[in-house]
Amino acid sequence: MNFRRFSLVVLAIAVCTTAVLYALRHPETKPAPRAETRGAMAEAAVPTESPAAATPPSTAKEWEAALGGDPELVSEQPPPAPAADRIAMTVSEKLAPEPLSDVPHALIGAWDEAPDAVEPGTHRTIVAVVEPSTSESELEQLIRDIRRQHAGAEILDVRVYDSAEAATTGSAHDGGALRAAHLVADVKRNDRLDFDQSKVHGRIVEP
Amino acid sequence: MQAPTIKLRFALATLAVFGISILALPAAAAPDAEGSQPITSATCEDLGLGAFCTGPVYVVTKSFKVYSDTNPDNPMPSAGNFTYIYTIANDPGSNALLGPIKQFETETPVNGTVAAGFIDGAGVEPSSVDIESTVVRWNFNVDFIDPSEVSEQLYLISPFGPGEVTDTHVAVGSTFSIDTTATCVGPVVAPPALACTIGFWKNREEGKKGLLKFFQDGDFDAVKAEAVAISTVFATEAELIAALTSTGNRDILERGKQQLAALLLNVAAGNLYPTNTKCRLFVGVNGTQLDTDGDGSADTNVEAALTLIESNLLSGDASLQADAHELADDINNGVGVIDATMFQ
Repeated sequence: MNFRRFSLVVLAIAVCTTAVLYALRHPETKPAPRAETRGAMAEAAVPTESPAAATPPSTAKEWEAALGGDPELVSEQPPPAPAADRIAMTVSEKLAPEPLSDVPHALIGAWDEAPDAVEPGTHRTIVAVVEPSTSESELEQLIRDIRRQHAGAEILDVRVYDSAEAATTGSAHDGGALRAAHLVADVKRNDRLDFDQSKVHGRIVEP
Repeated sequence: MQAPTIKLRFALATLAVFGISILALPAAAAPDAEGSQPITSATCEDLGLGAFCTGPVYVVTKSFKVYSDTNPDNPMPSAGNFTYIYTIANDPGSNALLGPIKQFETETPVNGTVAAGFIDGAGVEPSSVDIESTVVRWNFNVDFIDPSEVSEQLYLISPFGPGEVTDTHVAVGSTFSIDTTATCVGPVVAPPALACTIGFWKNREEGKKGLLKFFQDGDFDAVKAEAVAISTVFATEAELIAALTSTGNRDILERGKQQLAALLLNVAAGNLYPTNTKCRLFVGVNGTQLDTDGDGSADTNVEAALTLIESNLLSGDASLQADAHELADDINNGVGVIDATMFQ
């Protein structure tokens, strides 16, 4: 093989290698854009565009995936979006055998980590809806009553909304903004993390 | 005119030497924060020792200095850490028999101490230094800090920033010790959060070369055990690792559990090894704050987020599980984590 022929072979190998590497690092499917805010992020999880031209990575996460740092990210598609943008919550009777409080409310969600067990589990979530006219003191009373009924829970997550419509709206279109706007009271108690916080309209209240 | 020239040269040379000497002198110590306060023990009368003495058994002046790692005057610089220096001066008026100081201890965040000791100088040296999970103790059991004496500079190195801590001074006493508790400036404020991705934790679990240097000698096993201990979604380490290392097409619950596994490991690493410089999220007072609505200010913290994420994953509803997945994914990638740093 003379020098010229050798050079051509080397050049061809280089071109092929570059093309293969480029193809590996730029899949045909355009990645879902990673938005700046959580609101837009939920939308990004729902593929709304048809496959488009390859786009270079624009975030650290995409770069990591493109460079092979996270095989899971490279090999898979974005997570499937929920079929409908409505939340269907379970109401487990064992978590609310009697009304949670004298403060008027509707229980729309109640679940724990052991749905098949007869006794309430250690991690309990309660979701309730109240009228928008419910006063601050009534909200405080409501979460105090719920806390008292579930004093035995190791982890308690209580969410009180002033709109059933908002409380059951998924995050796909607004990143959960509607739901967040109607969250009027909230309890997060987690003994495993030594954490206990109750809020009414974003204001921390004494348990 | 030869003589004046020589004199002038001599004068200039002298001036130059003086100037160089001034420049060569070490700069005056300028800590980032400093202060001192007198600590007065209980009185002899209060302790029922009125027959032996009167007034406080001892009075000490406790001084502190805090240096950041970039402070050129830091006598014990350590990258990414603060240096806390304490000195204990026992007042000449302290009781000679009962008032010598035999111990000084200060509280720390759990496992928040990188190193502690003393700087060799002219003061009284501690006989030993105990670094425990939530306390550092300097013992003067061999040579007490007698009245009129001053301890060596006692140092404590920690990534936690300065805040108010409780400390205790222990005097010899007679058949019992005389403790006086006070407050001082010490390590309190959590250092910047360091979030690690599912990729990191998965590769660490699979023993990928280059990552074994992180969480060595059983530390990784301890982190996994701690992650399970703080979770209600994962009952065993096997479940945690199965979720972390899962691949292929999975539903949103499985993907959410994978992100949760990494998040739990980040929190567990912060709980157990807060001084590590790879992965750490902090819970508790001064813990890691989150900005989940993107308005630039903190609106929740890691504890509340972790509670919410686990609740949503347990809900049985795909939409709430997708929320959990997104939030955990964001935190693990440092998105919305206040003061987060990413090294991987």
